[in-house]
Amino acid sequence: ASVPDPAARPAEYTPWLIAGLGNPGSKYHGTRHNVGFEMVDRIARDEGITMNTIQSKSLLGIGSIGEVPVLLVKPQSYINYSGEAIGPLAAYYQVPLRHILVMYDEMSLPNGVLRLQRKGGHGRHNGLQNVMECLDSSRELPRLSIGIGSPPGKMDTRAFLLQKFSSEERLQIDTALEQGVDAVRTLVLKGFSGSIERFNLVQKYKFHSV
Amino acid sequence: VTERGLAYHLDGAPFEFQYSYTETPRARPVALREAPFLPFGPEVTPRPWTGRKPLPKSRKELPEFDSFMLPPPGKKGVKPVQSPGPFLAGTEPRYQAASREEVLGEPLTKEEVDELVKATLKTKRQLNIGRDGLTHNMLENIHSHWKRKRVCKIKCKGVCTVDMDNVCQQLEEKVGGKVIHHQGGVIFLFRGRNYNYRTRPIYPLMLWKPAAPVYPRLVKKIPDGLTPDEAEDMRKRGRQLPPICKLGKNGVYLNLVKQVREAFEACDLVRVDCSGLNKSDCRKIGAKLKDLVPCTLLSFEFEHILMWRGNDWKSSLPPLEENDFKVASDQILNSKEAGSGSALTPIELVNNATSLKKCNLIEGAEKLEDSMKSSFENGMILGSACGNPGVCNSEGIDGTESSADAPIEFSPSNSARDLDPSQTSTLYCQSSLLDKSENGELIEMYPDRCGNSEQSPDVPEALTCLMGSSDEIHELETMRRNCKHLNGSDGVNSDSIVPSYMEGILLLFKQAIDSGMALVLNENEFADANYVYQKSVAFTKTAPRYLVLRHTPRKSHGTQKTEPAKNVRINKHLEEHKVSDHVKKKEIVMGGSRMQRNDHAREFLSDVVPQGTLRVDELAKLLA
Repeated sequence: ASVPDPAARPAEYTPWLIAGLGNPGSKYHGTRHNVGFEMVDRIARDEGITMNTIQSKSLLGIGSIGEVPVLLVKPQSYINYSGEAIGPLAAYYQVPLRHILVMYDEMSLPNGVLRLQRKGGHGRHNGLQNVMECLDSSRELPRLSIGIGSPPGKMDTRAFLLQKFSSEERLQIDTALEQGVDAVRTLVLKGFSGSIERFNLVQKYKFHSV
Repeated sequence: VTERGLAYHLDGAPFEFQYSYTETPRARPVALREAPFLPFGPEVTPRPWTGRKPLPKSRKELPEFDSFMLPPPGKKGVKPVQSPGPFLAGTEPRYQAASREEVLGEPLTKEEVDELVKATLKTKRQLNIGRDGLTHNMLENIHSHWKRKRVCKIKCKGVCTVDMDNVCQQLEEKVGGKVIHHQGGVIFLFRGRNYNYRTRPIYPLMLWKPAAPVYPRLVKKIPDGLTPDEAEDMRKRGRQLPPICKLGKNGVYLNLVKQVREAFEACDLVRVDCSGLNKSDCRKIGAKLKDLVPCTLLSFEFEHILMWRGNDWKSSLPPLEENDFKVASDQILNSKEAGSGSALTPIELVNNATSLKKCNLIEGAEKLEDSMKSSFENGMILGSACGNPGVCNSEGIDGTESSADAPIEFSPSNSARDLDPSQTSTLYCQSSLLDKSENGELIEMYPDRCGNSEQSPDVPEALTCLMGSSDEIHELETMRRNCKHLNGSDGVNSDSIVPSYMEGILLLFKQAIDSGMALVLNENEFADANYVYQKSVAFTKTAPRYLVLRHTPRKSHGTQKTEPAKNVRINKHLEEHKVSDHVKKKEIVMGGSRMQRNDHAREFLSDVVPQGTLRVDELAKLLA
């Protein structure tokens, strides 16, 4: 087989693959586990990207943020098999690992708190776990974790994840998604820099100021 | 006898004795609770003895531990004593070391430290330091640990873990020895290579605990720099504030100062939850935070510490620069150019060498010609790379650089040397003729060319490949036009001109659609989530798993006529596009089977097996 040469590849051809995790179908629309889909929708709306293509088990939209080509991906395999959709896509479009941004719901963060990281573990998120398995089980995946809070009392985790947001939480999430779009834009244009660290800091102490 | 806190100055003592060396507040005490006295026992102070009577002396004859005479073997009740410190080869133990440096000797090597720590890690003999911090009597305790062991394990819990640096520093200063490792609240204190228990400094023990003096109030009703209203308002706000962290009961608060500082970057009021802690511990932690962060304490209400960052607070984070970033990227680009220019020449040399090795069948004269030719080509392309920047933008420069890399890499593998000059010359002409957007296309063709030249050792085949590649050029141009069309119709990009950065990805996208891997939905369809799901399930069942073909020469021969027509159809009707996709899929399958059957055909096709078939892990390794 002919191995593509990294040197022969043009330098500017480094698209970002922005994938939001979620379950397909309108049945799961608006649940906590589908917060990644909402984020993708928000980005697509703000950047004017139409998501109208089906390729390798996922709904795909191609566009650009500034001068950077961007692939917006909504895996249509169920969330625990998201890797099956993202892996082949990343291979097909030759997206390097450091340019695959996975957006998912994070239970260890309070509701509406975002965090952008260069790498990390899966944190018992089955979708992210599967994505990481399919991408050479590498931890070096950039990720945007969207906080959804932890289940109250002794509530079952699965039930909590497949529940819809309450009205207060919905407001928090909506503002968080707005901020997330800006953060993703700066990330795509400038990479991980001081502004991303600042974003994380502001997000972390978002609810700690009255 | 009172200075900062309560301190006792004795004649001949190296430092002033205090009840606690780490936990004494920095502030000057306001008043004393009782008349000052020396706590070192009744013979020093005329004060009635209120402690317990010492236990009667044991009638048993205790063995002499301290003697350097070894006990007879087999004697009972002998506890092991470690001999003085690990000595470096060739050094003698010094039993009469006086100063701290002498006792410590040469600094420990990393291996020695590891060994000492490992030996002490699991030991249960430890010294606990609690809310009183390092007290005066612990100095003697540590020495009695050191009597038998080289390393003393000290475990700190509670208040003193807020400021571990202070604890370590005080330990080294007051007791001597060296902190070789500390993790969490545990400190490993090494006694020194030349430590001798007998020559240790001996201090009088404190037999009474002196009463703590009265200190000024931690929380002022109206802190400095605030009006009463503001202070009241802040306290009111603080009641609704969620705490940034809760102090756990494990008593390890190493990160507390860091966390509070970080939180002050984002918000002016910070609250820490201390519920479940001792009340005085909470106050002590507050006092430490006030000094270390620094901040102004507002209240200790509801077992929470409420802090304000103060008026003269300055952010420790660097301000965000917008312009500097661009400048830096430009610089990087420039340096890259320079680097590639200089790096190319050694690569050239290496390539020449390999080509010389490879074609040892050919005569030496030809070899020389080869090397000359290849170097000439490289020079030409370099020239083009150098000449272009004036015309192109930075992206264009990058593109030409990589194009300069490509021929260098395929020149050694290529034995058909007739191919090179012709290709490069044509390319050179084209590059000089075409503008920068088409340069991008050329770059994309390079990998394919590489493949071609690698796979075809025979000259006639290479020639056909050359023909094929010229076909490819045409095809690529048509593809590009199609891409433009697609863009226009889809509304992805309202501009009629495709920006150069989007070309690569759109090309791949187009290929995906053409080869039946992707399916474009119309507007009504992709809005409905359920429909999208159904469609994707149905589609994945039919779609080819791998990208089988990519604009091969054969395809261009075989389906030349159908393709343009199909492209037109794509733009017209999506339904028809699907049908044609199916048709095409069949073709591909047929092609695949034929490929398996026909060896020759496979050889012909394998050179154009696209990059998409690479497994992800391989790709990741390449791109990492």
